[in-house]
Amino acid sequence: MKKNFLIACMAVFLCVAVAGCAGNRNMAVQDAEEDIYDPMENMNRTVFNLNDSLDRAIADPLARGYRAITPEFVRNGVRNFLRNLRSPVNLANQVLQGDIEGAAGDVTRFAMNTTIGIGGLFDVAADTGLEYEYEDFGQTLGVWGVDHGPYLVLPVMGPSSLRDSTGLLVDTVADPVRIYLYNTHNEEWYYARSGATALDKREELLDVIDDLRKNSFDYYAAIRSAYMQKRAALVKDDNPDILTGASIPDYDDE
Amino acid sequence: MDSCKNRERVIKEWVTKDKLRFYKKLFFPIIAICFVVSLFSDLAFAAPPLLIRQNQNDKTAQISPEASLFIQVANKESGNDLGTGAMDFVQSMANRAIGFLSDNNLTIEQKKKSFRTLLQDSFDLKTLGRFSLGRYWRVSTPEQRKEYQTLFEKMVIEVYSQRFTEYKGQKFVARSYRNDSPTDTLVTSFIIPDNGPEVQVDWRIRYKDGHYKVVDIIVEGVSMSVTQRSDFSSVIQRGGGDVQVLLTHLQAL
Repeated sequence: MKKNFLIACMAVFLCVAVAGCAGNRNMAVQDAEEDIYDPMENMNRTVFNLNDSLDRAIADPLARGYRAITPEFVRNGVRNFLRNLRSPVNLANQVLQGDIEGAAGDVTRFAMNTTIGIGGLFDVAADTGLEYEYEDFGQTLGVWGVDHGPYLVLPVMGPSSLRDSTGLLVDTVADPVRIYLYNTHNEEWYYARSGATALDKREELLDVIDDLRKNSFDYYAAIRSAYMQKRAALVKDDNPDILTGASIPDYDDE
Repeated sequence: MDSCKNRERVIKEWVTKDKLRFYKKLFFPIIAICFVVSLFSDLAFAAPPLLIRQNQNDKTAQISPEASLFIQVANKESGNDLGTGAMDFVQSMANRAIGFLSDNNLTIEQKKKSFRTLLQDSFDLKTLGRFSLGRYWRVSTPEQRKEYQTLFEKMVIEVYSQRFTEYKGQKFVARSYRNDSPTDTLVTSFIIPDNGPEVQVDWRIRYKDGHYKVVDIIVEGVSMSVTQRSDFSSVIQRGGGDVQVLLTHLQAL
């Protein structure tokens, strides 16, 4: 039942995504500076405010507490372990993106970290120069040339876009770890893992979000911009030759 | 007779069940096929311009790290030392900052004060401000522009000095550079904490009138200037397109 529901959701999302991309391709960018397509801004802002109050009440204090009571090596261990569990998803997306080098790196990382790194608790592969690369199906779609479609703020999950939430669904449905845990009736472990991932992610973002909250007039717009820029960088795999930000004109002419 | 009816019912049930199963089996492949077809159509439309764009934009993207290193060396030898100059500029600016930020004899106020001077020396605050106002620069009056620039500089100095005084002994290394335009160099640097992941910071350095100046900072792919501009233009847009709304926000700081 649950599986059917997920598949149905995925089907709907894919249809909408395809329709969205088809429509978006011919649409002129409304503003040359701000090419973030956000037609549902009012609804997004409502969800965003809701998320923000939830975050201030629950996630933010939890992440702060987590940072306060655990020593750094424990948090690193948790992060490494969770990242290692994500290996199949990362690997599949690397292959789909045609990044053979990245895929080989993921296989090597998984082998090294699972054995020498004791089940993934230590990221020994990173010490050899094989850094972790986060890949998801949203990025894969991006590599394939699919546009973002409208910007979306998902309840609880936060900033996303039609493309990236489609990617999220595909990753969730196809995740072998999830399939294994569901089929062996260990759903509670899946929920525990999701909770731990969320906590780890929020702890990682504590400083960034504090900074944006404090130093922006329109927090929604700042987060939206940062999210879109970060996603664009991830699609390009943080390649330093491409990461240039915007070109900044020489204003001396006026 | 009765058993025959029963048998019929069983068969009927079996057939419908099987049909259902058959449809269920069909469901996923159909979605998969739709998906693949849509992707191919997307690729057919989106890929050619994408490829052209890539070829135009990043001539260095196809070059291996070793090769690009060689090009840097070659550039240096052919007298193009704008890039190395920019890299040295970033490193020395960071060293200067780390110098007073890690000096335990200084109070926070003193640190902030030194930081302000550093920022005024090495940031092109005029360009930063002008860029952050984006398209609203054109619709603002000369008085508004003047007031905006003053308030913006004050804000940037405050924000950055507060950001950087949170310094906790991280190392700073400028590792590479690439030329982006005749005046601009992008310097890639890393902030390395004692424990945990490195943070990549790219600096857009402009050489103008014999000086190097910072015109943008890109942290892990997120440009501070672009984010700032998004924030500002959203404030103005939601205030009905009036620059005064932003000025009021800036005055309130």
